[in-house]
Amino acid sequence: MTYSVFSSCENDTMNAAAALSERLSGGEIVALRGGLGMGKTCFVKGLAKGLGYKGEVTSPTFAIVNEYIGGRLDLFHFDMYRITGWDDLYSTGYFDYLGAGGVTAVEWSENISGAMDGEKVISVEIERVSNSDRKITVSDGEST
Amino acid sequence: MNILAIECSAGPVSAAVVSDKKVLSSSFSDIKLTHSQTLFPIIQNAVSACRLKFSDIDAVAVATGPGSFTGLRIGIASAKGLAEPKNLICVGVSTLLAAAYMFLGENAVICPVIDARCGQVYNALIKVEGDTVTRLCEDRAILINDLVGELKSTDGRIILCGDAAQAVFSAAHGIKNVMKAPLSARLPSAVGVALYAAHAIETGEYTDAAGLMPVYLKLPQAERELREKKGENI
Repeated sequence: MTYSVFSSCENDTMNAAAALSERLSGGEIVALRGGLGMGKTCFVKGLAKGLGYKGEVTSPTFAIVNEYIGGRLDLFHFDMYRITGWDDLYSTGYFDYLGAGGVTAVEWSENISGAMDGEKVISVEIERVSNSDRKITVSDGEST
Repeated sequence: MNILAIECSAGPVSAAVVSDKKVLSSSFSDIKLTHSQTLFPIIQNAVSACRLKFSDIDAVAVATGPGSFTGLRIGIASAKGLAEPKNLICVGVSTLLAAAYMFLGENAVICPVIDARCGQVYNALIKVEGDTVTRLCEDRAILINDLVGELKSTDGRIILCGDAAQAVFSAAHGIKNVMKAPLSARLPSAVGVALYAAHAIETGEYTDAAGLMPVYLKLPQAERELREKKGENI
């Protein structure tokens, strides 16, 4: 299934993410794509909120991964911007998180597209329409 | 000689104490908490359950991989920390070989399979005949389909264990001599690590705290692209 929604503010993006979160059952990778400032972290905030997580959600640019525990499902929030090879990826514990039963949200997922084979991937592409407007395209299906 | 063994290479975490090849105690948990929270209470349980104090422990054994990156680091760092102050003897063992030691007394090819993601498993084929354990191949990462191909041409009873046992069993559908281990021996346990260590110390195969190192068996995908190529759309 593929669908697009338009967003004109952070709230819209969070609502789109919260709507997606209702369909999650654990074990999925939410693979985000879209350049700097497109609202990827904002989308993950919406996922966390939709899953009932009460704490703060911040970009894991430096930590690589943040864990949001306490909602309906655990949410693991990766930023792969600085991941350049398999050794980097392995040392983040990425493969351990995939088996942990939660939802794994990945910013800059294009950097690790080779490491999503056989996983249940929901891809989320955020495109710029204007300074404030975004087109968010969500598609389900196995990664190829 | 009292040997404390630790196994936290996968989901479960366990500790066991053996002495003279006899398992004195074992403690196991498979709950959704990180090993850094569960390992030490379990070590304490295992040691106190056989009325020993930590000062009675003479050697520390640990499963060194392949397996979960974080699990291996927690297990090995803990073993090093416990062994270092008193310079205890240390034994590092392959998680796959340790799994085969759970089947001592059997007469079969043990096929431990650990989920390595991306359609692959960490695996070795290990023959157990009574008390004799013989490796048929080195530890490796292998595609499930390739492993099934090998199993087709392997004689004798083949027993699958490890967290991917069900997945490989399903893929090996129709191979008559392939069976799943009973649930009680399906998952990695420190008992296997301990039994291996008892044997290894007897034959002089041990090291010290500094000599324990994790073995992250890499998936043979280093040559595969991780990043999507520029301009390519999936």
